[in-house]
Amino acid sequence: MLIVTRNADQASRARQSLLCRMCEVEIHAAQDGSEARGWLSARRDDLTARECPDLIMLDLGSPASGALECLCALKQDEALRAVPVIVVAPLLPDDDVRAAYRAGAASCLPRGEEAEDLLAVIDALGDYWFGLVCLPHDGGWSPGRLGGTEDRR
Amino acid sequence: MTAHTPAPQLVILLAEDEPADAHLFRLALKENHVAADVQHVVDGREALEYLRRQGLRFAAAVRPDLILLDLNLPRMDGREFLAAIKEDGELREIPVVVLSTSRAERDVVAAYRLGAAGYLAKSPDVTEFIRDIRKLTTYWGSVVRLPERQ
Repeated sequence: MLIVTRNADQASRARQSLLCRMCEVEIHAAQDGSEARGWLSARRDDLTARECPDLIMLDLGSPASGALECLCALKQDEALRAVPVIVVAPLLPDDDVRAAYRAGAASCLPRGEEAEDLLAVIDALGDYWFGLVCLPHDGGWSPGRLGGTEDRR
Repeated sequence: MTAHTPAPQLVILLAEDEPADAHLFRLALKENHVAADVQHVVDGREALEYLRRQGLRFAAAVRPDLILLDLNLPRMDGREFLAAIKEDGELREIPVVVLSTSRAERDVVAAYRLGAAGYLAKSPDVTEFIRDIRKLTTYWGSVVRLPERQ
């Protein structure tokens, strides 16, 4: 999973939160859309099923982060367009929510400004994306991702 | 004291040609006490007609918050429908979640490449299916921010 956020602490919190839910998720972090695209481009030749992220979380908290532009670029990239991109943002006006879905966001999650609010978002995101649906590189359902939750035991 | 405002009811367009599966979906909503407004169509072409409010039958169709799409539909299959809706400037913002019995990676990847917002492999176990629908409706009904209905 690739997390794009200005807040460096968020990636670490996300990792802890997902680990607590027994999700074996490898997390990479980028500070903005530009860095994310750089990270992905650097691995372009290795974007096999193992190297390609299963999921990308874009935090639109900072207008300068270029996250929406990053979303558009990802969805126009043949090698990456299958990767679901989740947009997380505080208090987005409806026009921005609409723009995110139009640009190809797989869902848009609101979050508060507090650190605990992000953990709640990560929990909800984990329930759906790592506990319910198939991801592009799972080869279908992958029960090995989850351990001691109520799901799919 | 603040007045409690109930969450608006989720409007779901279900594109499913198997009556038994459509019935099971409604049963799952009932079992989970989810009060969604489910509009049911039986193929991809009918789904597009619904969304574009074509014909007398769909003239007053309610725009859905979420589309649940079976892949194997007659007339226009789920993949064709997904491609069509994501190329339609008016409709592309509506999230589409695929419901399929197939777990083949090629089907999963193809659905995401076409713009799916999730791919749920339907469990043959009714109890599991009901639980999956609870999670799905919780996510889309309570967690996700959807575009305001127009």
